[in-house]
Amino acid sequence: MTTSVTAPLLEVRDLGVDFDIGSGQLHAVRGVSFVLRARDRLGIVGESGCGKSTVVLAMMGLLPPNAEVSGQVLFNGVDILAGGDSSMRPHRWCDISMVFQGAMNAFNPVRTVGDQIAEPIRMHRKASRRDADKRVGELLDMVGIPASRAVRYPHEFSGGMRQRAALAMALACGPKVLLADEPTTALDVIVQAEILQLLRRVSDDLGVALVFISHDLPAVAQVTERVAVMYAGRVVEEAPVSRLLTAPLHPYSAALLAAIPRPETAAAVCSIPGEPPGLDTTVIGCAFAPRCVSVLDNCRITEPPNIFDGEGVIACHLATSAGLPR
Amino acid sequence: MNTPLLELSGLTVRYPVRGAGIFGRSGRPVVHAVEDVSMTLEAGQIVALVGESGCGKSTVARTIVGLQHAASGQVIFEGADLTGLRARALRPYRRAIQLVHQDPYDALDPRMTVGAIVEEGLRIHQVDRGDRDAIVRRSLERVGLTPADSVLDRYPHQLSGGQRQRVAIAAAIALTPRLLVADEPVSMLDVSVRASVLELIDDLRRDGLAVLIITHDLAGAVMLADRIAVMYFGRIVEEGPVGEVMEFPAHPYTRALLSAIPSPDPAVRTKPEVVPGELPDAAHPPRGCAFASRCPVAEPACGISIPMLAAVGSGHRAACFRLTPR
Repeated sequence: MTTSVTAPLLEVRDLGVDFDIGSGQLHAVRGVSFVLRARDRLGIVGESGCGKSTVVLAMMGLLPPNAEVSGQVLFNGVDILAGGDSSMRPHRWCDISMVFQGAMNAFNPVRTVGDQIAEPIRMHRKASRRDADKRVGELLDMVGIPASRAVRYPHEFSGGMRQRAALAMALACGPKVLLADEPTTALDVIVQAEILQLLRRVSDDLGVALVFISHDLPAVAQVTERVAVMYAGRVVEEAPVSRLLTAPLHPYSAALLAAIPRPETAAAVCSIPGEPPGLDTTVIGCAFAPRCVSVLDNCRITEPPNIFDGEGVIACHLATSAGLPR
Repeated sequence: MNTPLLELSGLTVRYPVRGAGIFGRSGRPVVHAVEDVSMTLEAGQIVALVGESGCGKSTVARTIVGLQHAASGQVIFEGADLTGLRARALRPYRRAIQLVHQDPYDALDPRMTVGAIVEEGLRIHQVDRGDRDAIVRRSLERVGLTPADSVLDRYPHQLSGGQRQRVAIAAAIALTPRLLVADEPVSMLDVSVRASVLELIDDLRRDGLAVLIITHDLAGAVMLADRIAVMYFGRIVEEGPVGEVMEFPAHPYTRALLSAIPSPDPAVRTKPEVVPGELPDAAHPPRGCAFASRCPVAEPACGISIPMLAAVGSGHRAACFRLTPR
């Protein structure tokens, strides 16, 4: 199976992350699993604190020391989490790289942008300065920045250009998997649309698999083929984007969808009342039950299992009961 | 009796550029932040001021609340020109016009309790000590933080982003303003929380409060506002009733903004109708229309002189040479 062409490039199996905070534990991620094949594009959406950033930081091995990670992250069939930092290091940035949240504001202000993009190339690929500079020119060109701007400083770039540069940096070592954490948040609509187009094009042209994290469902829908909806550390629904946006099965996915303002229709948006549960509480039953409009008695008692229905995964008692369209 | 609540008349704001010649005061370059902005806002109305980062919309907000001096033009509130008033005379207006900041994470003092934060303005405006507690509680409950006792003694870090923004709004409405200026009130919040804060602002209008909402989120603005004004490079390029502007966007920039809103329908790929590019350099504004460099329908005449706002419909104005065939 692993030798077939469609073998998973990256597989996340039952990933869990707890943070030890002295006074107790925070359960940030619980039982997250997904599979990425080459060129796959997966979106992860959810509210702040649902664990989506923690998932990708765990995949990069970049969580702080008080994080306890369980489960597996298989890259080409090999668990890169198992051996700690030494097993992660050869893959980091070369095979799996990342556009960090707020990356556009994380450039060192006193070094040129080109110099900073060259750094991972020289570190990981052991390239000479000259080769690295040549590669920087190619990378900038690919993300739509004139190569001549490499000698400029971050303050001479607009926000959108810095975000493009952050993407160029993530692509510097030719990764197979790109993790993009909120790459369009805090950008203006026009720049956001340009970055979404760019992400699509880059992943098509380079054949890079993409994990795109955002709380903005429409932005994700513009780029990815599949979407995983996270709530309170768990993936509650994963489905093809077309199904998730037209016929969501999980009440939380439906509520997220109803919260999107749509200027073309005058439909009122509906906020989701209440707050997600605190990460320090042990969830009994379904974590979404207190805010769910379709809650059943069982939802407050037992945690819904993951149900595979051929197209996707859903964790909801409604999906197992007869009432829900399948 | 037909005096509008707020009238901006030819408002122009310029910032001197620092570091342009250490000694040279003469001929110092200035950034043209806001140029000749005129608009009105009636009592109980919600007006959205929309545009990209750097277009001057926040500067307009800061000038209205008196945090920024106008180079020329007037800010007329209830018939009085605020730009000419000294600090003492301005004081009652500072109470009548309240500002809600963009970032509820930074806007609240982390060392003050919610109760103290909401009370601070009352103390500064010398509201009778005996009345303050009741006003604080009433304001918190008005913004949906019920019961007030549950939040009064809490600190900002114990609240979610949405709750913090509610506290900021409570602090503003505690002073019974007639005008609320909200600078990107939801851009830092999750999509699911955004809707509820926008609903709250809409609800406050029932108390007769007028709201000027500054945002780059056109979709959010549309669901809330009665009128919309689109800014580009310091000028209003289009202004009118929301329905009109959405249905018949007259300015190419407004059309570009509308085209860039990501569609939640994955079958519809958004492609911004705009030439890729950036805002012009505000220290060296172009001679003609500032949008010409990115405009898909620009012609040579657009580079020669600046188009003025002209009526294109009932209460609907736009500033563009390419509106009517000549």
